[in-house]
Amino acid sequence: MASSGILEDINRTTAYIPHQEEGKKHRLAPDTSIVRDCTPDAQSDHDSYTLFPDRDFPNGYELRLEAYSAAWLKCLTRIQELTRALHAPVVDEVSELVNKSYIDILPGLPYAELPVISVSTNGASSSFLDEITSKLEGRDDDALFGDVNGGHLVTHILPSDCPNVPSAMKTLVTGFITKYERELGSGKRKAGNSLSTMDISLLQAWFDALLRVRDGNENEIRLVIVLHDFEQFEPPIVQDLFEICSLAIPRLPFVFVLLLASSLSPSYIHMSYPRRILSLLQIRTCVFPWSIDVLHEILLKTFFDVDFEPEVMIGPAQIDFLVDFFERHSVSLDSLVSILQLAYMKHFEEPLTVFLQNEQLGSSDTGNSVLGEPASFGFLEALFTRLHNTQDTGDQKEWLNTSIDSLLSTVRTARETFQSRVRLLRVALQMILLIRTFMISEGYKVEATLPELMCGVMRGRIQNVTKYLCTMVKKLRKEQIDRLLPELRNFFASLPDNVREAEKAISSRIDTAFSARDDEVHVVAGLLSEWLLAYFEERIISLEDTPLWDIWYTGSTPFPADLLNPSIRASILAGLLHPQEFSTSVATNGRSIHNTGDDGEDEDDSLVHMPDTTILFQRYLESGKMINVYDWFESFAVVLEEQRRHRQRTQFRNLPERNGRPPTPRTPRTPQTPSRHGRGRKGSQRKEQDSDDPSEQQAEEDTEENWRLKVQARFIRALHELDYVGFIRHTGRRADHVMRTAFDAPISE
Amino acid sequence: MDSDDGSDACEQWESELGAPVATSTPSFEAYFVQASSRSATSSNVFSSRILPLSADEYATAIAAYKARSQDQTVRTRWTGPWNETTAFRRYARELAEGFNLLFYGFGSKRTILNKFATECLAKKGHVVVVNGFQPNTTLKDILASIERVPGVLSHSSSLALSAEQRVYDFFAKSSQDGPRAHLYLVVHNIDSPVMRSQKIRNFLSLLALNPHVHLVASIDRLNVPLLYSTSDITARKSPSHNPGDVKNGVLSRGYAWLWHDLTTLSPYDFELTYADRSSISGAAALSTGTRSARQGVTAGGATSGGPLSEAAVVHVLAAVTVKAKKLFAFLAAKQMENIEATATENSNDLQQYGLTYDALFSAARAEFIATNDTTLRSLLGEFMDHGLILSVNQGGQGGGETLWIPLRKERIMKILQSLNNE
Repeated sequence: MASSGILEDINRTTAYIPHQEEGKKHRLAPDTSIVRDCTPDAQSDHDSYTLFPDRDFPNGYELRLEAYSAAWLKCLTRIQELTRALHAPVVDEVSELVNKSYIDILPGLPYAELPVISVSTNGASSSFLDEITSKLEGRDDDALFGDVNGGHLVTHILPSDCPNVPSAMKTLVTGFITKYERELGSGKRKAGNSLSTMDISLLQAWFDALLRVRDGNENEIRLVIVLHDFEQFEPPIVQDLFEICSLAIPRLPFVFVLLLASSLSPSYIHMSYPRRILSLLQIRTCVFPWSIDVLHEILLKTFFDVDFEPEVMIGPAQIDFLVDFFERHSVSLDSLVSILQLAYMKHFEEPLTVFLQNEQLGSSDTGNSVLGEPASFGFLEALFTRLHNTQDTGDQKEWLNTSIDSLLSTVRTARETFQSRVRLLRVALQMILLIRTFMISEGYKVEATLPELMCGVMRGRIQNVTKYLCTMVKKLRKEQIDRLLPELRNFFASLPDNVREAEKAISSRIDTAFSARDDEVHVVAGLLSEWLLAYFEERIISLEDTPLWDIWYTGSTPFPADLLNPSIRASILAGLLHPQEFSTSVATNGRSIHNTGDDGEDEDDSLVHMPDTTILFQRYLESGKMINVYDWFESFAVVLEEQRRHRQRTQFRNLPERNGRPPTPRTPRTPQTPSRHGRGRKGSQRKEQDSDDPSEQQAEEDTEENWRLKVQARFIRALHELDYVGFIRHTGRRADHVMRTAFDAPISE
Repeated sequence: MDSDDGSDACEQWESELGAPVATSTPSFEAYFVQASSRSATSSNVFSSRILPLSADEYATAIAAYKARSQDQTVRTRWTGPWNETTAFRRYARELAEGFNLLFYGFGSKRTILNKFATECLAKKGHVVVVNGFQPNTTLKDILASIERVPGVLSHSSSLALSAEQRVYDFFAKSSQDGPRAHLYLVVHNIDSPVMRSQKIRNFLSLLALNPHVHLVASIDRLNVPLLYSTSDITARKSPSHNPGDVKNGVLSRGYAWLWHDLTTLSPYDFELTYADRSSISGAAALSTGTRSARQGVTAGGATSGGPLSEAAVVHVLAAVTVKAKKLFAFLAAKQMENIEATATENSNDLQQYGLTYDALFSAARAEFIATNDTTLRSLLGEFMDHGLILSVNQGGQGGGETLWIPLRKERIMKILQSLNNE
């Protein structure tokens, strides 16, 4: 391949590999990477894969991908709706503040204050910004884009745009001018006779012109400047920016919107900016109400809402991971979406998930034609085993006798069973939550948290909570019962039709209790408590007890946490310390095969089989804070020496009868190759040992000098690799000493 | 970046994960244990006791080593239980789902990623491979490569955009004739000093969230996660149908990384091509991007300006007078004699094979090279200025100046031969 030549050229900094289109042009996948119009075979050529080749069938990947896309889109849309609803109040508040700026000002101020709105966006999703911008610009959903008349003018400044004041000013001025260029028409400015682009007077002139063109009311248009990641701006630069802008107001109606990631107390801007600057500003704050409750609410409304049915239920493992991730690491709705998406993606790698929806293989025609092929037999067998795993399947090929139709109908039944189960489970959870909320509002203590409840319900292990709640119900006073019963009734009245039938029994019981509430209170409460307990026991059963549950439910499959939150350090250390775990060749490198006899030696012996870098790193771990490179080199050379001797020993053992020599390392002192130079005693001894192996002789002219060179080269190479990875700091404090940077590595066992 | 605080933070981050490595003591504790005692190291100085390898010597020595270890080509288990094709396709799927991939783990990942690029990604779209480890990589190079994608250069927008924005705009918009080609940016060592520059990071974080651009990158440094904020990592690609993003200026930045462990254990030879193999800190510049460390170390060493190479000797010898050449040949021959006479194992300390000034002077007079002290000094001066001959003044009585050539005997042999041939 021509491109491989380019890629191997060290002098090239970049390489371009053109798109290798196969067959017709533009057979590129669109965003979702599903190409429905191209033939599945051609598509599967370079896209499809399966992790379970023994129980998958051809075309399964495409069908699963389709199912995934539909399921994920549904879930994503729901989350986005919820997110938007969360954002809406903040967006409205910001917009309100912008509209009111320069209008509702304190009377009697000596000078106009620069309106600044600091928005704490901690946890908000990335669409939050779009929503604010479009709201400010007056781009409503129904308005055609481009029609921004009447709205405010918005520009964005990123921290990276502002290394100094001139460039910050330039970004500010040109940001407005280029963005709304179309309105005024471009090409008016000539480089020679125009103001500099960082001059605020230019913006002034432009704004005046814009006002004339728009013919609008000066008082209605604001110049909104959004500063992203405000904490990352250099305070001195922003100070100057504020000062310059405050000189230009109110002729240029600037409004600054600061997006902060930190919370509002202690306020970042008050902490980092001097009083002198703060006195120029009129600071208003908006907070995105983030807390872990938001996560709980979104999870609840996405997966446990009686009115919404996601295609795939996430399992307790995912919920645990999410809660943990949010509490420990990152609070952002974006990561919530990413985590759910990854969970979905992982879920659909299971071949059986092709049955998620009815459309894929549901109809018997397509089902028969696809599954009837011999290539699908592995899949069918797996399916059959799953369906009949309780029975004794002595006959391996029993499934052949079962028709595909009947298998498919079993799947259909399983789907219906699961879906109705989940539906009723959601109702039961909502009921628990209702009683829980009621109890909390009455001042009782309920210990179980929301995620615990969600996980418990799915695992079917929540008896202690339900029992506790029912006992509490039993003990309620009359006026409390009077308040609870209507709530329960309303809840059942508001249930969607598809579950109301199934919940008839309990809802009629509650009706009975409601009508009898004027009787003896403890009788009613007792009965209600019993009924509720029975109801919960009937409804809350582990979802994994349903047949084929793993098609619609991720269960306790662990979330692949490494994808989002890797342990890079641990991985590098493991790669260095235990290369045999990663590489098949290191594990067997001259060890398992030949090396069974003698080695009862110390730990150095195990090092003998390791790659150079591992040897050097091992020595690194054994040393102090500073390492003398020479000592390091010497200790490294010792191991290499041992390695060389070891290799000779094994080669002797392997080739015992070669040259008629006895298979011992001690050989008669007959040098095989004439030396070019005179040699000392020690050197020639080594030489003899080396030269006993002819292949060795060919591969290397193993003179002592060469060997030392080689050791040195290998040392330098390993040293540089460690340096490259970042284990070494050259402080230059002592000659040829380096400093360790890693102290946390375990000393090898 | 290589600060200890960084490693602490990182370690903490990992320990929360229940990292596979069972840490015996916490990082900070281990650090204080180490720092509390003076580390006992010998007073040997590596660069004075061991002659640095020249590039050629290194190459030959490593080549011989590699030739032997060829049969032990490392087969790693990075794919897990699946084969390479499956792994590649899985990666491709994740890219298609709007994530960018970041590969970590010990060992050079260049070969595998290049294979991924040529065998898998090239079939799906245009691929631009960026050798981030190359110290000369610039944003201009990257842009120039991306501009080779048909249509980028001719792409015109109603707005005056910078080259970066134009690239973004090109891939963000869908063209009239079908869906826009995807661009796969394969960045080797996105953590290298050059790739850490603000300009390139801005550009990459902008492109990374473009719906039609996919970033595949590798990292090697220990503390790389510190480069990215959580909001960078968790950012998500905007949906593709978002007209006029560039115009509105709401260009979110971030990476949307998915991390994959790709421990290959392969040597970093290609990445370290630019490392100075003659110096122990030769790779520091590639790793941290600073040159100060290196300068400090070489200044402390015995030789300044790097090791003497054969080519340098030949150049100097070609420029000096015949007498000077004769002097050099004489000194070299004497040094060779001394080396062969002693013939101990440690031939690294060349000073011991040198000649005292007095001996050299008397020999030079006998050979009619220099008749007086001044002439000899001026002849030697040229060589000493270029580092061909080193001298040291041994104090004490009877001691004097010792002169020697800082070259291995093989090389002195070669030079002598070429001198004799002339």
